[in-house]
Amino acid sequence: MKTLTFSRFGFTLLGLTVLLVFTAWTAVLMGPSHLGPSEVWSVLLGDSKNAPAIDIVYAVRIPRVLLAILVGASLATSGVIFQALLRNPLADPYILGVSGGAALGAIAMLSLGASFGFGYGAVPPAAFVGSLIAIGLLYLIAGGGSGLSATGLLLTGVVFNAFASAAIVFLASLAGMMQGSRVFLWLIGNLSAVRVDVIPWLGFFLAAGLACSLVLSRSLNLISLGEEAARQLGVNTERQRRWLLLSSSLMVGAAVSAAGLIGFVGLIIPHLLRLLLGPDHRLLLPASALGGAFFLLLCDTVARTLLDGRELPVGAFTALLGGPFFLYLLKRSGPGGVLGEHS
Amino acid sequence: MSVAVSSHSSQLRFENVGVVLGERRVLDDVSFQVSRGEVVGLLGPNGAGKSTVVRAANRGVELAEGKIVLEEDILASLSQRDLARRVASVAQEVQVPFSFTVGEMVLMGRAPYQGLLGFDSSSDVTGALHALSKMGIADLADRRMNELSGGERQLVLIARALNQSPDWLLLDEPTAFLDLQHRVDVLKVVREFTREGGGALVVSHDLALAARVCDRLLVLAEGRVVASGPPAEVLTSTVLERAFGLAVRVVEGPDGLPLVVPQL
Repeated sequence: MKTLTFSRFGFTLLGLTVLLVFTAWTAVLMGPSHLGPSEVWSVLLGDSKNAPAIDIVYAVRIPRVLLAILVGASLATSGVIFQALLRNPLADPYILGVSGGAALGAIAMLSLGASFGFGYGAVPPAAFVGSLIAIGLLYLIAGGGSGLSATGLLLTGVVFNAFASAAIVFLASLAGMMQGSRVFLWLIGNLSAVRVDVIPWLGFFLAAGLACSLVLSRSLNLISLGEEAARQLGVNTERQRRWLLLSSSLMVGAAVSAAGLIGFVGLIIPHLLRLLLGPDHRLLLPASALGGAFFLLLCDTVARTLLDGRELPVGAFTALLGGPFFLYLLKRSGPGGVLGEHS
Repeated sequence: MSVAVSSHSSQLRFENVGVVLGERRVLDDVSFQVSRGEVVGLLGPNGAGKSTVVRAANRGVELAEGKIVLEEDILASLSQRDLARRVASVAQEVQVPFSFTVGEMVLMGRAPYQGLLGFDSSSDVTGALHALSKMGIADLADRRMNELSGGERQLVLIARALNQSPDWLLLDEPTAFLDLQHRVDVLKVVREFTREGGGALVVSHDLALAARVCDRLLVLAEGRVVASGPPAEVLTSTVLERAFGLAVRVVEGPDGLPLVVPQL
């Protein structure tokens, strides 16, 4: 009988880590100013006297790589959690409108917070509150508990996203933030406006959310079978569900407050990894964190180096990949599939 | 088969249990007990409240009145985890949205004994394999749940319940999707479970099999217990006509036990 063993767990995560490190190394080498591997290596070792190179590596490229890793990991991990909690492989923070809620919270703080004396540090918590409110609404409207129908969920997400986008544009106009394309870029999702001081915040939120969900990953297996089954097997579903929702909101809030609305990472990565590794959340959850980090880093590196001298927003990139992928999942599942009503 | 006579301390007991779901009273003043060593069959028309009885014994519904006593403990005072070590149940139908393998599914039966983190121990795996072979489906261990037929899925869920090593087994129509051979197999496993000291409550629509496997039968109609006792006393045309609202004839089968024939 095949079961999750320590060696399967270890080798899978090691493999994904190696892939991620290799991609990160490549990403640090790539950019408009040419830096060779030996040059970057000597900067990293502290041997380099080349001040511009040191500046590029430490102030531009490494923060950008870290940001992509943290945001990607947060989005993919919360995707896995939502899919298990809602028992639906189509759940994704972006599609469900949870990212939209986080974005609305963040924009509200950005546009109105200054007049109440809040600084930039208040933006991630505001995004976190926004995502919590969106999740609350989702549960309230789509039925709550295990009675969530896929159709109800997706419709609620679509409507909430439309509402959040409108409210964001409204707030941004009020605050005079519409100049240029800052808000637009943020709605599409991008990592180019990276602020280095965001990274510790993001890292903290991700670490907290990831740790909490990893501790509950075995319970997540049971919860994904449904409320009734989980309770029969001794899981205190109410309490654990709350912790899981809290940790995914933390991660979504942090990711969105840093990078805007990047969609579909939480859909594509968990789905592919589930095909490869199976649905056991003890492995799927950490693997998705690493996989999401790899995927967003890859997309962002391509997005910023594809065109000479110009960056594409990475959110446009993931949506271009994710939209068709979502439709493919819907089509393939057919009647009684992912859109089937889970009771 | 004899009716086990046992003290209160080895019983699962419903005492005047009432359950209200929304506006509807689903159970009304339901009292009965299952003792260790016996199989009790729960019969009744659709919507009579049979599944609610099973869910109440899992703490899946709130009681409006009365209490459920599990041996020396009030059920409501146990932790969910403790309860899962003592009572295992199989629901009517379980949707598995993700493609867990049969082995993974049965291993989840060990959850009430495992810590939050960590891998399945070798004794967990041995136990799971044992439960699978008891149900005759050891060869399905690495198959995915969503590739199985409804009947095979039911066998997996019963194996998972056995893997919980409970003292009490609650089965909600465990044989609904099974062919005759497997129905008999499942009921044999249930008998073996009670011979080894467990107690079982089995919801069934198969009156003939219930009469042959259960020590006692309990008939529920519109949320109330309308009859209880040994099969020969309960399976009478009067009781069944009252419970099911259908004219039936009860004849003696070749084994001396009652056979129920609906009059069309």
